[in-house]
Amino acid sequence: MSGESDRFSLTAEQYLAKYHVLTYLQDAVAQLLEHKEENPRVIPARFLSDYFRSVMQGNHTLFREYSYIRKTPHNIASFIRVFWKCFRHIGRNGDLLSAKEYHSLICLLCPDFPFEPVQKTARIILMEDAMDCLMSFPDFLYAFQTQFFYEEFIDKLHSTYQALVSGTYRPGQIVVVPSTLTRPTQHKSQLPSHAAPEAAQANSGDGVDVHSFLEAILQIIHTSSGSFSCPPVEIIKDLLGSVERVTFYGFLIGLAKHAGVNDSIATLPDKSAIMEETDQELSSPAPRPKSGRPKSGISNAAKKAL
Amino acid sequence: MAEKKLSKTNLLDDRDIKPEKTESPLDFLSRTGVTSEIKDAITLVIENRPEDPISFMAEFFDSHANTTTALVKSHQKLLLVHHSRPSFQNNLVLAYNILKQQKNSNGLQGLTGKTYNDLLTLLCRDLTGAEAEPLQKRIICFSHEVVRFPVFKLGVLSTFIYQDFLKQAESLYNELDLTERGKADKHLCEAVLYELQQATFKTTDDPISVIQVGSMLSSQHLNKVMSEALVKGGASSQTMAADEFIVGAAQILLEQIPDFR
Repeated sequence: MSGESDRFSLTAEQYLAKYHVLTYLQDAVAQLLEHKEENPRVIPARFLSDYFRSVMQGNHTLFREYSYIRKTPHNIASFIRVFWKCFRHIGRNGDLLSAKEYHSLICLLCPDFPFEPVQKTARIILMEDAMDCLMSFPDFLYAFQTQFFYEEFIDKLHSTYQALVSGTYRPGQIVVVPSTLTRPTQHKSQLPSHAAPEAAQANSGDGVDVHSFLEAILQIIHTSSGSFSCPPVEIIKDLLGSVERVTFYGFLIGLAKHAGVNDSIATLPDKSAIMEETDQELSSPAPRPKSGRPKSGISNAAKKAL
Repeated sequence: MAEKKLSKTNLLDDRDIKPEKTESPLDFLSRTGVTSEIKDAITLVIENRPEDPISFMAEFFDSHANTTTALVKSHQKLLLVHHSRPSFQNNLVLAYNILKQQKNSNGLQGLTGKTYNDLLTLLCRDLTGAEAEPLQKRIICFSHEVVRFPVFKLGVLSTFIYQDFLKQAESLYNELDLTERGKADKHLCEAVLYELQQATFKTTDDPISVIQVGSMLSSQHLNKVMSEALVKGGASSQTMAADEFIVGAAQILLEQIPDFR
């Protein structure tokens, strides 16, 4: 992910922003002040140490507000893991639940969790129709992971997809998408060049031409420049490599089921292991993508000073 | 702790610290030392750029929560940033003040030689006995005497610089080790050490001498000296071990440490 030199070539602000250090510090102090009201005898350093330890272990998002969970990719990943750990017995029993029921479960962990992401997750699994259908826990879990972790990416992709689809009806015109996203002008100008072949194929089936779709995705990833999470490019190419045309939800379900996506988020175990009940799983910290932590802050500083 | 309060005002509004019940959040944070701890933490994180800053922070606050002795506290202060950084000076004063405020057995306050020596031992813990001994000989105080700040500063700085210097000397030796077999030519080593020594002798109060020394240690001049040494040494197979070279170089540095005691 991030090489040694990469880390040191950033400015201090960039470095702090990349690892969300200030986000966590700010929240830690806010939590400390709140905690202090009820426990005047709190030892601040101990409290802060516990706070950061729980961030490391990934159980800091439990019972926290939705806005906090949304703040960093690590928080989102941690929340998904907590959700899995708390409710995996549902999957073992093979129960099927509806989107509303899954939403209620999530609300037990995060009271103000909105229904929309759950609804979108259901759309991925159920391919946009039949919203009241029941879903199995593993299906929901992986789709939810994809939807929640890549939420912004998926939103942007959705608008772009719609532009691509409607572009087939009005070839040669620049499509204005009625949404809040700021699509780069560069991309808009690319649309017409693809519109012609699309128009030819428009009758041959659902979805859009895979090449223009891929190009649109790459454009989104390029403009994201790290401000939101995107799936790895290799996985997208892998998914799109074998097809001629692609639909939005077809792509998303592929993404949700792709093992590489799961690996890159590094929150949930393999699909085969998801039902396994191992007690040590419950206590072990979430594997974080940024591994290799220093053994001790002080000894690290000592090394630096020498 | 006057220094500490001074630095806090940068982060906080200039409010009086009131010990009343209605203390503001900012007052609470500064009273309990969170403000300065966070400042330290961010400094440390930015200086060190750990791969996983979150676990780094956890360790940092953990060590703060558990810190008990003034010795450990001041040791940590000294290690916060590298000694070449401007903020090190500040930390040095803070560390001294922490130690100074310790009560001694006889009821007097002040930094005794015993605590000072303990601190130096702590700072030297990565050195081998043979490396640390000549340094400690020069800077260690009697355990009953009172250590003043200049002495403290000199001792601590010497320790840090000495450790850096040993590293430098080692890499210099590796450079001189032309055959890369762990053995450098004796004449070559001696020539370089001689140049180094001359350079330190030359430095006087006269500012121009610094420039002269700079030219003496310039790569051009050293190149010339070294090629001369190689020609003069000819095919002699005499070598100098790394230890010997480093001890020789360290000796030059140690002689530069003034005696304030």
